[in-house]
Amino acid sequence: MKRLLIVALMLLMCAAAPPEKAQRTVELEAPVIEREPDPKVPGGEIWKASGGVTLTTPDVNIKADSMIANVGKDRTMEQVRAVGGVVIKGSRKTADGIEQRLNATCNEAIYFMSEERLLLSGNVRGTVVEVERERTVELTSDKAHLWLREDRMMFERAKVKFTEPEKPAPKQE
Amino acid sequence: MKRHIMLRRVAPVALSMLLAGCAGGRLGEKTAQEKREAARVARERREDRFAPVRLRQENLKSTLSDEEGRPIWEATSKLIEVEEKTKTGRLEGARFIFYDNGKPALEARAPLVTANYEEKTVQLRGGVEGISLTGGYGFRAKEAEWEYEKKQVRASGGVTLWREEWRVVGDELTGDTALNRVRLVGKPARLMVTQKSK
Repeated sequence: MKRLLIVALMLLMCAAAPPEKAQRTVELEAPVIEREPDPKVPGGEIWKASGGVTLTTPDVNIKADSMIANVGKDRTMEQVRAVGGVVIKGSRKTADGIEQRLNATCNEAIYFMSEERLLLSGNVRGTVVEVERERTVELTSDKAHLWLREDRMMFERAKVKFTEPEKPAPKQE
Repeated sequence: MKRHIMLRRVAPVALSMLLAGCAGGRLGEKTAQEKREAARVARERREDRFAPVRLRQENLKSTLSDEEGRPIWEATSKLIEVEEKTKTGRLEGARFIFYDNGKPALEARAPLVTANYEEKTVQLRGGVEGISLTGGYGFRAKEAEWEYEKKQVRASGGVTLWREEWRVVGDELTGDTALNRVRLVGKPARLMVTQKSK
């Protein structure tokens, strides 16, 4: 009886413990990394990386000549601005479970981390490959918004080319 | 029989000559050692003449202040040797608190420290560990140097700087005393940020 009580108590304690929030790691690699307090945000900080920078998150991989990352008062990285020869690689799943692989190049990109949104500008060129459907979307644009969490993209002044495998013609009886 | 008698006469003489030879060799060596020792003592005496004040103190706490009496650094160590001629202190097992405008900014510990009281520079060696007293950043490096004039910290050799949610590693670090502004150089330097998903 005593043992049962102890087990029940332990189970109750486990159930009462608050669930830990999922953590994600963001990694920035560069020959030079600088940190300074953000003059606009008390308690905030700015990280500057230069000399060929790679940013790796669970969702996206960005390479650029230099990057500036803002960390807010709550100590989370809010946004990263990548400048010069930006190359982006990422993947996401649409609402209907289709995996999309994104590849893009542009002159400047801002990655809004909390929204998982990318704003690309300056000679944007990219492809979105849907693996299961074998569908490829090629685009050139002045400006592009990519929402990595949602099945949503927006382009300004864009040329888009869809490539899909030809469907076999229905059999005629 | 004759040969036997000859051997009995010659053998002790040869043996004594051999022993004398060995002893002579040892004697020559000892003289050279003595000469070297004498030279060493004379050199030390000469050095002592030029550096008349050499303070050696154990478990010492010392503070260096500026003209206005504001502390520059505060040091505690297991052993300190101060040489008046060069105005340097050699500290073992030292803990330093570096001040910025009279406020404590950085605490650093190292097994070996050389502090120059005139130039107000401190070199920490043998594995340095520190903590920023204003920002809460920790740092670790093989070596570090602090300069009062520049109010600057330089660290090298496997540098790690961290706070609760991030860690940055590199080969060299340059920063202000409180490590609020830092620059890390590496091949490459790497920043890792752990953040909670919203």
